[in-house]
Amino acid sequence: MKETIRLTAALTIICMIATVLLTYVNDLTKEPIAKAQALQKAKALKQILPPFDNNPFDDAITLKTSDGEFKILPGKQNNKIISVVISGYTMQGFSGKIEAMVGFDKNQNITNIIITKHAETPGLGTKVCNRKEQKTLNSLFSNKKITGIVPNKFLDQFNGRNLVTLTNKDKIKFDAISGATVSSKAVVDAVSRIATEYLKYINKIGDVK
Amino acid sequence: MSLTSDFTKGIWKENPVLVLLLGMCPTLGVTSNAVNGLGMGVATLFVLIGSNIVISILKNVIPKKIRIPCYIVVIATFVTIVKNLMDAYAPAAINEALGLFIPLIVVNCIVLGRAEAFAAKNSIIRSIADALGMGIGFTLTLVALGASREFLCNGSLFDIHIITAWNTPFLLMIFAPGAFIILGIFLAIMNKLERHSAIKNGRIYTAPEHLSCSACRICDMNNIE
Repeated sequence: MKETIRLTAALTIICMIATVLLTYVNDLTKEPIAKAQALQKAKALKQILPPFDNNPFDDAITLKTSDGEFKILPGKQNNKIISVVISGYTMQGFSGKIEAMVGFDKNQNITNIIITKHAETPGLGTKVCNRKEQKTLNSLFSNKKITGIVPNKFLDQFNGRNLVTLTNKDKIKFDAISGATVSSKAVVDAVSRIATEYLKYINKIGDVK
Repeated sequence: MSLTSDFTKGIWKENPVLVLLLGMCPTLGVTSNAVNGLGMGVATLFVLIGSNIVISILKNVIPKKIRIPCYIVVIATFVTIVKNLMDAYAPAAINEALGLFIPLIVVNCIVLGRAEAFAAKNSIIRSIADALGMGIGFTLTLVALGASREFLCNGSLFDIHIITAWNTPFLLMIFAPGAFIILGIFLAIMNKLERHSAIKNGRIYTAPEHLSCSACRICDMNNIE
């Protein structure tokens, strides 16, 4: 009995020390982590929006849903909205949630799509989601560098499509990547959900001029 | 045993994946390409060094009968702290490459296995040598596994396409069955080599005595030195 108490006390003390340490580190790193994440999102935004002079996150409209959120981020120049980025998600990825950002220009046509978060199969689903340069031995030695946004055959096929053609996902025409049909369909689902949400709120954010 | 053999045994003679068969989940799960194998291996290496040092320092403080739950608490705390600090202060490129694997290490049995089998019985310096050897052995094995699977799947190594005309991926290799097949081939080669060298030296090949299951004392409450 005495030993049981001694061992329980020892384990309790060790767990308490661990808790104190974790609480301290969590408090210490909370702010820098939030800052680093915001920086990453702002970087993604700069890639798809034309130059803007406001902070789109300050002017954002957030639409909460049961398992996530959509954000409407207007990019302004001289207080006029010149383009809009919608961030949203789908749950139909091969391994769960896929988060995307879609940029629309003033005519409501898609300028660019980027996938900000996903857990798709490396080598297959990542072909759909990642904007990563395809390296070969030749390109390694030729020293050519792509500036700006890296092209992705799948994501780029939607560029220039109009908002109204995207709301019904069964009518969207696209070429899926072979071997990654589920991921391809999931990205299309994300785009169409984003378009649907944007269409609902398009009047509330004022005309895009 | 000397420091050098503490270090080198992890790379070949007691390789954590191919001889001890520890850490099978990350081995099978993340080795779909060489870059992932390298990331997981390097992340494990750092955590292993840290946890071996901490366990080695605390080995006289922790009561022997509850050592395993204590090790788990210590390792999980250590990994969580590293993850938080990395999220906050590490450069984005490093965090992107390694951050994904850090939470996977919390329950990695290589870390716990080395704490129990080595760090709890030896000095700090020897524990560091052991962690370095085991970590490097783990990394090399994961890179080799990942590189084989990646190459067989789409003819690339470290995301660089070696064979540019390889357009149809060999999907079997990138999914779980491919991991089992390649790991099986690796184990067979390892055993063949060991057996070959044993026969050459005129011995009968048996598993090293202190590694066989009959010598395992991990859960034995009565055998606490």
